[in-house]
Amino acid sequence: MLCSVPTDRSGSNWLDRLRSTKGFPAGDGLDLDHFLANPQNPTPPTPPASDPSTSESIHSVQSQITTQNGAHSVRAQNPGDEKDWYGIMTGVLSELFIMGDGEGQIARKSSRKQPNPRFFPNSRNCDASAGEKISDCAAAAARGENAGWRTPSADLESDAVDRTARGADVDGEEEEEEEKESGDNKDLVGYSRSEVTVIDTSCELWKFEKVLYRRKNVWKVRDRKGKVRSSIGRKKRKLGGGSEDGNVGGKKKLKVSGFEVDESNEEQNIENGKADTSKELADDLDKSSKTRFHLQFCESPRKRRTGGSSVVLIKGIPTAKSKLVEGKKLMSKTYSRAFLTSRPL
Amino acid sequence: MAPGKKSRRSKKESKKLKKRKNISVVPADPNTSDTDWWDVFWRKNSPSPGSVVPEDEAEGFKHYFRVSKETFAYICSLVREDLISRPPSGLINIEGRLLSVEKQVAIALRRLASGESQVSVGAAFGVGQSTVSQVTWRFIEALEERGRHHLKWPDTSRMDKIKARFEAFCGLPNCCGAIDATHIIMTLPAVQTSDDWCDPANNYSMLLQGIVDNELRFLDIVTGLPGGMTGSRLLKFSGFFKLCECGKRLNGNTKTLIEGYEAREYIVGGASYPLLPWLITPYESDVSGFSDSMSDFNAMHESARSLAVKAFSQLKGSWRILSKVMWRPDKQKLPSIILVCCLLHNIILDSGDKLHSDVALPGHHDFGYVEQGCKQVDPLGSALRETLAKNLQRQQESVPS
Repeated sequence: MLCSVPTDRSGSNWLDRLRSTKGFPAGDGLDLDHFLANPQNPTPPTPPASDPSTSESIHSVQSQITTQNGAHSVRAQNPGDEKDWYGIMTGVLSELFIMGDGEGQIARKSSRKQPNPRFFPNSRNCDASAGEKISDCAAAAARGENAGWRTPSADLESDAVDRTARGADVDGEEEEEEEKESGDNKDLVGYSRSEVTVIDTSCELWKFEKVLYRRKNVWKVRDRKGKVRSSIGRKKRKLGGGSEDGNVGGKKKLKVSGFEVDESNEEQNIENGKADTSKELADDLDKSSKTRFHLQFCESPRKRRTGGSSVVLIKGIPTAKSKLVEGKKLMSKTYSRAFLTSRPL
Repeated sequence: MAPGKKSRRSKKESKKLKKRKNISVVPADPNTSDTDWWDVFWRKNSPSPGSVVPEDEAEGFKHYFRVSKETFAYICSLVREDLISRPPSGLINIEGRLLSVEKQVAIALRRLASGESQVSVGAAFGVGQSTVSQVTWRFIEALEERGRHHLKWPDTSRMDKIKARFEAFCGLPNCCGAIDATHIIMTLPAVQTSDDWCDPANNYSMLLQGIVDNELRFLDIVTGLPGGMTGSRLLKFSGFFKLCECGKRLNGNTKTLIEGYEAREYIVGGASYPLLPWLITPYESDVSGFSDSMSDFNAMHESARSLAVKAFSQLKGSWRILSKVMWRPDKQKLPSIILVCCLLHNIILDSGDKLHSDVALPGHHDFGYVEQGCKQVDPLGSALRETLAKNLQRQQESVPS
């Protein structure tokens, strides 16, 4: 049985082998803290996907787990296929390994933060499956949520490359660009962000919403995703608008419509059994409505843990009410019966 | 508990009844044309000795609303459906039902024309500030949709006329329009202040770019972008720029000039714009080699370009909401206000109304802003400018003979 093979290799052995393949000294005193804090480490750790020995070692750990659980992996029983799926599995496992460490320990202790963050190719692009749009990515970048993997120096470098590639205007102004859903927000770190409503009579739809990013003389225009104001360009009017012709009155409408979007999405996701919807919903929200959303749904751990929300609570009311009504009916019936029975008395 | 509720209800009901009574006392039929509002307004705001308001009633109407009574009626007819059909809400509920379309249009026009506060405008009409606010926005939304046909890029036949008039006016052959931009200054709440909106004159502003014809009519506008941008950058972000670059605009007939040279369609712009194949800017006057022919060309160019300057001056002078510092406007709504002012400007021209001579701003429409030269030069643009300058020179040479 192959399952017995990994048990021969002790945990220290595979770690030693891993260290030796990476050129690190194998010793007992080298734990993760020591490894991360080691200032003499010139190269950041790389994912060991291409290293067969590392793959084996990771596989051994996986096999150990499988053996312990008593579940026999089909793939582990076929030695011929081992090397084929090593490549796939090791990639996944290495990701799990690093991410597990990062979440479990690094997040808690700031001292464990890597001085030279590992280059993470998968997080370069916004997760398309999550449906994140460029503007949202940029928003996330502006909030500093997604900027961990990217150092300011790298940013400057790429920007410099961009500039040289694009060239600068003769009058000293740097070239602006307009990208639509290009999906990369790497160049928007450090840019100020302004949401604008533009009216351009040369366009088919005169009125549209854009997001402007600016850093010094560099301006970038992106489409604004998640149309909060669906009525733009139309004359539909909601009751109780109360907006002034030029004053900030429109904000209220904005918030309300954003909130409506939240609620409907929340409802859907509850039905689908997804409790954590904040990331997906963030696409369609402006900042204010987002904050409101977080206050209402995300920052209430009690609600999240129970998987419920106001919707569930509202749903609960009628049932309780009906029960109450039923109870009352029952009571009245009993009382009436009692009364009826007692009347002859 | 229960009796208290009942008393509240009864109070509410009695209030409702009172309201109904009030409404029934002043019946408002929005379908009928209401002229009473003007009589009341004129009586209330009639010219006093020493005031700038004209004595003549028709001229007084123009003074307050910038349009003649006929054009006013036309504007009312454009927006009537929208202003009637929408049920009023909130505070306006009571007053809104009493307001005729004419009075609503008058309130909105006065607000846009004077740029006075909503309270002052409301006082002139005997309505509250919130009514002015709601009515103005409703009017803006309505005209934004209904008045689009007053601002569009001309078709070939109309463009031919424009080109001919441009040539007759300033001597530039095949010129289709003049471009300029202006800043709409505003104040912003502290939380919204950003360098993006801060312009070179240290004001918070929104940009408006417009291309005008020989009659100062806006043919194309772009607005909504922050004042921190330069004019040339605004141009590059505009749909007009993209259409021209891909040959979908200013792609009409070329004109054969003296000595067989050909001039394509183009517009003229100031030194702050790049010299492009379809956008001709003046020669730099402070460089060596600046010749007389260049100077002559610049004079001709300036006469054409000044039409755009004049148009903006008239726009901001007529609709003073644009020339006054707007107090904390909603940046999402401000573009609509600007657009509607441009539409009204065009409606006046299309109706043949003549503006009062005192409406245009006395100084430059963008007073306090220094024009920054753009040194971007496209070879094709440079060649066309040379051709136009040569053509002018030949014309001047041929005239004495």
